[in-house]
Amino acid sequence: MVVVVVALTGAVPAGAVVSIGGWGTISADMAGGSLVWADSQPATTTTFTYWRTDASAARVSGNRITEVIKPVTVRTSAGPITGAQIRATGVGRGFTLTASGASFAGPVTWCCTPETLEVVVSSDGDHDAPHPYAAGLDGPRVRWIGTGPSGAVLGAGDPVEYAEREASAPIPGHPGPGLASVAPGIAAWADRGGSSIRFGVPADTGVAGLRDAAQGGTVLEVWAVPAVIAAVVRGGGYRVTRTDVATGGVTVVWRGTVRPRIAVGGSTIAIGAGRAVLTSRHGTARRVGGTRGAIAAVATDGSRVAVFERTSRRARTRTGARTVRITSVRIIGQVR
Amino acid sequence: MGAAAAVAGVALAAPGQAAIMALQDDQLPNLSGSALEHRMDLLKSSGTTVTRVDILWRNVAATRPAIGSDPADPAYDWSRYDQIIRGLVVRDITPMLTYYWTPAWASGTGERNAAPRVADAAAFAAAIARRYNGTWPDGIGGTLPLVRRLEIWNEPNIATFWYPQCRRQGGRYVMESARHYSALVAAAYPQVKAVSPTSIVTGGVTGPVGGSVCDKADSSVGTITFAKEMVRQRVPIDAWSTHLYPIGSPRQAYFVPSWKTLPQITGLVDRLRPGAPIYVTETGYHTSYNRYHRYFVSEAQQAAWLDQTAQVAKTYPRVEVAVWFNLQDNPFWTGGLVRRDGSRKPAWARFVARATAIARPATWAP
Repeated sequence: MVVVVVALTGAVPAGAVVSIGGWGTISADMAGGSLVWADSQPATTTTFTYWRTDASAARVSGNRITEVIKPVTVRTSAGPITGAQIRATGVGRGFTLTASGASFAGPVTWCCTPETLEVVVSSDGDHDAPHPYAAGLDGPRVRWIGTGPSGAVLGAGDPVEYAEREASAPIPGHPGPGLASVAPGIAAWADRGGSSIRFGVPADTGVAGLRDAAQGGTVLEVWAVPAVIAAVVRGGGYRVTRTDVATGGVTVVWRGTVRPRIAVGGSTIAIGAGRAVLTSRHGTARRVGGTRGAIAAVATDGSRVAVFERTSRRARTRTGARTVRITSVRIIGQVR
Repeated sequence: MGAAAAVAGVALAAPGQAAIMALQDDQLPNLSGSALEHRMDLLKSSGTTVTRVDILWRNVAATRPAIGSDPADPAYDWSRYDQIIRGLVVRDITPMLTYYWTPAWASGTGERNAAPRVADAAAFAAAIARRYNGTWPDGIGGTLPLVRRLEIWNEPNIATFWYPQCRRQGGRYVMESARHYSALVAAAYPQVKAVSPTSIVTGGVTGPVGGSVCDKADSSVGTITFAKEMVRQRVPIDAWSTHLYPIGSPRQAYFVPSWKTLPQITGLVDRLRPGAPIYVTETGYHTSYNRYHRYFVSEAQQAAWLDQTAQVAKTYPRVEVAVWFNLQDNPFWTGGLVRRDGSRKPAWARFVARATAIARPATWAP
């Protein structure tokens, strides 16, 4: 029986702009001087049943991305990983990661020990296991939200290998990929096709102080931090809303015709819409930068925004010149 | 098989025989008494006619024996293994033995994965072979069963089981494990044959590693690189063992080592002993992610690909056995046919069908 631990380091060059091969689906977050991202690539061929999500973590110094590591890779033949979500813990280059697919429950992992080893908080291959769609560090516990045949659950575990202190409690609703978020002291989620966000204080026994915030349209994405919940809402175009956790008040901070990418850090909502980068600290979002290519993801720590941009270039290969797809990451600083 | 058939006392499977689908239960060495008997009943209910048993050297020999090759040395405690081997044979299951985990007294560091001193590890191989050569008195009467297949170590190309893999020399790392392991097999082979002439000494037992990058002591050495070094050292073997955990279906996976690339290994094995049988003593698919195995499939895929494993194994006449690892899931390993809660995965029924469809050749009878 093989027991191999692989911690890939330096897999991505560091600098002002970091390039990632391909146009994968990116989930990203920033906190505590670190940038983390999960890159879910489609299958490379049609004859080989295989998908993967690579989780990378870097330090951010000013506007430079340094010390990139790739400590976690989830690999599967069970199906495309469609619901990968990564959240920075704010401690070192730590993060939580979920990597589920439509047809299978993926793992919930926490990264990492001082030896750069991940801890698998939950991983259940049973056909009726809940599919985890969101996770976050809440004090000493990693909490996650998933949906199974018998409904939604709020799970929890310690970021300690084989601590065996797992907990699971039912919560109302049926959230899907992108529709749940967990942060210190808050869990928020929306039903598939639903038009409101449920939120409250997570615990091993469930969610306390559960409240609803109507969003005025179909909720497509939810991102919560302790004081703010941002959402992408569809209905008469697209909107980004800000829900104040203390009051439950909902305000629209952006409207447009393309589906935006969002992220929240501190009380700042970052928005990537088409080729424009915007932020909102309180009211209407303001443009803070732009890109040449389509924006694949954004992340923010409240003062900086990381932008993942899809570009392509001609490159020479052994079989001749061809167009190579690249996702490049750069930091836009001082966006307050 | 011609040259192999000439090997004195080594009877090999008939050509064209489909590979035996076997199952290992890694919990056997952790149980005793009635719990062990129940567990062997469960193993029997899978239909397997062959199984692989891990002999944990560290547990058998907690203290240094005066004469390592003497199974009667008072330092040895065989009670658990005697019960396992007796119990398997009574159930008409043929055991294959492997041994590893270095006792603290047999290495410089005291770690269980420490590369052992060759003389000690070879003497222990002889002790196993002598105890289970069919003539050793059983404490409860009669003699202990004959076990003919003995693997020398488990995955010696991986630092988890053999450390160091590489050693610093003149400012760079050089491969150490394959040379050291070759010395062990070379030392163990004649000692085993001397006390159990019909034993089939199996070498390699390589873990599923493709490329080799020796840049630190706990690097892993690729299966092919490891085998090449053993060829260079002209190690005596009767059979070769390799472990295959394909990424992708058995028919899809193309990397080394996988079913498709097995001929690369057999080509090297032929240089050690032409026509020597190949034992795939571990194979399988995990049904959930864990830190140690970051590749997983669905339970339905596991079942389907177990079928494919049997079909693909059949296309390699040299492969006499493919051992599915493992019977049951545990936190470190989710490739079981049975979940942690004891419920059966879809692959269980497929295994039963495959295992019972293939008649065990006479050369594999217990």
